[in-house]
Amino acid sequence: MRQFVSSILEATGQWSVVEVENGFDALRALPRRRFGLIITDINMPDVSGIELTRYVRQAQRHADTPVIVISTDASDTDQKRALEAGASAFLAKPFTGKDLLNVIARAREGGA
Amino acid sequence: MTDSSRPSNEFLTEAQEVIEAFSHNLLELDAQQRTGDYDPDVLNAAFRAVHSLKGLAALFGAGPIAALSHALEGTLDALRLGKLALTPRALDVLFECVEVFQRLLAAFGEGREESDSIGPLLDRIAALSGVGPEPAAGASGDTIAGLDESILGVLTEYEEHRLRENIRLQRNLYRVHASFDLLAIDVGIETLKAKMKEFGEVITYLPSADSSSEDRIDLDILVGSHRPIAEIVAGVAEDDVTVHELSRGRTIAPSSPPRTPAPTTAPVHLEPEPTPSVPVDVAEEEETPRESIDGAISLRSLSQTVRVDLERLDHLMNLIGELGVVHANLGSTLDILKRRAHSGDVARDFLLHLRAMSRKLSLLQQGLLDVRMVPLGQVFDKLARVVRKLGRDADKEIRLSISGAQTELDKLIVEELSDPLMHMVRNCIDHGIEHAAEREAAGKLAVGRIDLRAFQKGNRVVIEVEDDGRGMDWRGIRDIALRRGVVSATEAREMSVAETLELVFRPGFTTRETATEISGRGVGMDVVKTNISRLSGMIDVDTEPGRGTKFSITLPVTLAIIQALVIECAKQTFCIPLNAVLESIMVREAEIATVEGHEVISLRGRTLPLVHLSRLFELPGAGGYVDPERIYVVVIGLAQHRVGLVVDDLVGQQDVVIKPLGKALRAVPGIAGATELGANRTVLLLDVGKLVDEAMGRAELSAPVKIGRPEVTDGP
Repeated sequence: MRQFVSSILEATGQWSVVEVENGFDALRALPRRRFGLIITDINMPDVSGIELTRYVRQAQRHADTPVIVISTDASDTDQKRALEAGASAFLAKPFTGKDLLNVIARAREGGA
Repeated sequence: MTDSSRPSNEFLTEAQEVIEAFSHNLLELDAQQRTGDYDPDVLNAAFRAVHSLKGLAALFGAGPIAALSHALEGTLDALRLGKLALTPRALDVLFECVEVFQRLLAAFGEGREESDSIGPLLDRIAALSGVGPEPAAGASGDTIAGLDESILGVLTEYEEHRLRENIRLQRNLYRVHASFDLLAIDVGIETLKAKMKEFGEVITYLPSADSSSEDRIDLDILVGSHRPIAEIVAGVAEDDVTVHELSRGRTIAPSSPPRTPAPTTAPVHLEPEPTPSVPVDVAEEEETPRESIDGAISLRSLSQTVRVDLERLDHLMNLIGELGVVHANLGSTLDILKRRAHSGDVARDFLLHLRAMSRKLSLLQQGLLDVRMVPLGQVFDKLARVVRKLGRDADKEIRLSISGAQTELDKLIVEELSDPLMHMVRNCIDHGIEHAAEREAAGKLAVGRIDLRAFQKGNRVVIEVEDDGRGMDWRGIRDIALRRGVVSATEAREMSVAETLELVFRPGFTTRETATEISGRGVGMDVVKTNISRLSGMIDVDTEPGRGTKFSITLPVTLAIIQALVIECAKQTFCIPLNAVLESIMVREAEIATVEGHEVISLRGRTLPLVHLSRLFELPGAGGYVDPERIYVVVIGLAQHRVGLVVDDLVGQQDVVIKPLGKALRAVPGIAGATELGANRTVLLLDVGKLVDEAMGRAELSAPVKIGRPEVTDGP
């Protein structure tokens, strides 16, 4: 899944992608640099996508970075909370590369 | 392997791993569920495994797998959220899914549509959701006392459910605040997590951005525990941690100085602001992380593993074998060099380098062998599923106890073992273990027991499959062998109990009908034995009527490289696996006696049957001894059997890489494989198991116990 997302992004030629494996690794990556876009799954062990989103929104540096949360359409509650926590968009699995790029375009318009 | 098959191979390996993880979780849940309480983390892990599988399958276009995991994910989600009860029936369906996943995956790998539809299984999954949802945690709706709305707002539905469960179980809720150095966060978290798990359940981790320094991350950990706050504070006293009890809002700082500032180890600041760059962070834990593009040190992942195709390792192994041949050839060159005049200094240097090379070569060899090792646990998990399923099918309750799952063997051996072990376990259940009523009548526990043990013994690994069933009746076995013409009446009369039991491994002995007739075992045990011998292993059986049966398999740790004793016989060179060689002795012709037409010698009071390699393989010049005063005998043995091999000369010891035989030789009994020695000679490797059988078949000399005549009918 992660490879799928990054391969699509890299194929556009506009993005260089940093992949991390879980929520904690994301936390480690975030303070060190600025990102143009953050994509996360909601279901991660330990630190969930919602919590990560909240963290990103709290951090000065990333306050304006669009965050896209990916998940299955399983839970409305989760989706609602992700958006409340500050996610720019929600993308339900399974999705195509085109879906992803569309959502990114929308998120960037709305966010930045 | 073509390039186009790559992605699908990657998918197969990864999907296989996820399915195995899922199956492992289920087995854990199954065991826990019997004790009444299960670990929600395990259920959640099962959910996440299926979630991963679904993503994978959809990505690679494995439709049926995606469909099944989709349905299953919903059910597991309901289970972990407490909307469904984890009943034995639900577990049955989940276990069935593991089997079906594996079939679907195999079908996908072979590029065919799996013929049986998953429809009925989907129906069964759907039916689970219809069945009496457990009264969900009664607390839904009421406010969660003492909990900050800001915390509640970022919980996932699952985390909220766990929170409510903890409240329902009347646990205290704690917010454990910790600050971590960014670079050390993994270790810090793992340590704290392990500690918190001892106290109760970790509900979630809430990272907060208001930490004092850029190099630190603050985390709030939500913990539910029955323990009083003092205990928890004491438990984490040495860490940079504060504990708040949420219901009272009290804060107790640990006695040690809290919040020691981060040790300022020159922070590596990489701020080239690569715009736009993206952390793509889709949580599939099992995925191997790709290298981060800008090589920032903090991004290195925890899991430092790569997956390698076994074929590539085989290729490396062959190269090492060829290097060994080069090494041996260099040795011969050195011998030639030494004979030249004025070569002393050069030859000495040469020898030095040659020795260094030999040492490195064996390190390289060992290193590569270690890479091929995998724990037996993989197979054991599979067996646990079989036991569970067959036990239910046969209406027998069976407890499987496993030990030594971490014992490691060559990947190839582990793969080849799964069928024989499966077969043996199946036999235990079908024929060994009695029904509950019969067991109770015999004064046993109603629940049958199968022990699966693995352990290392010297440079070999022993695997035991033991049941506490009815055992095997050797008289029955003997009568059937007699009736089927496997043994003659005379042979049958003279066989020991142990030898009689060995009959179950003979081809032609077993059929389904006879197996049930003697309420025995050994359906297809000849096939099992063949499989095990192909792995250079031995299988033994031990049984006690009414008490149970134990099969022991002894295996080499690896097949790829072995140490061998090189011998010559009738001008031919052979290798004998060194781990089967007990000793080499020299005897005089006068010491050889003949008992009932077989040649034997007496070795420290024990009779040792002799086998002439030259006669066995009908080599030219068989018969006479090179020197009747100096006859070399290599004593080989496996398990309790010993045989002396008569050879012409001992050449030396060498590590050899085993290569599979061509078709022409595969059927020759007594030959296990081929290898290359120096000077490009191909040499045959002797199959010790077969040779021992051969000798035992001819000469039953050391048999300690004799069976009475067939008409004796004592006992049941």
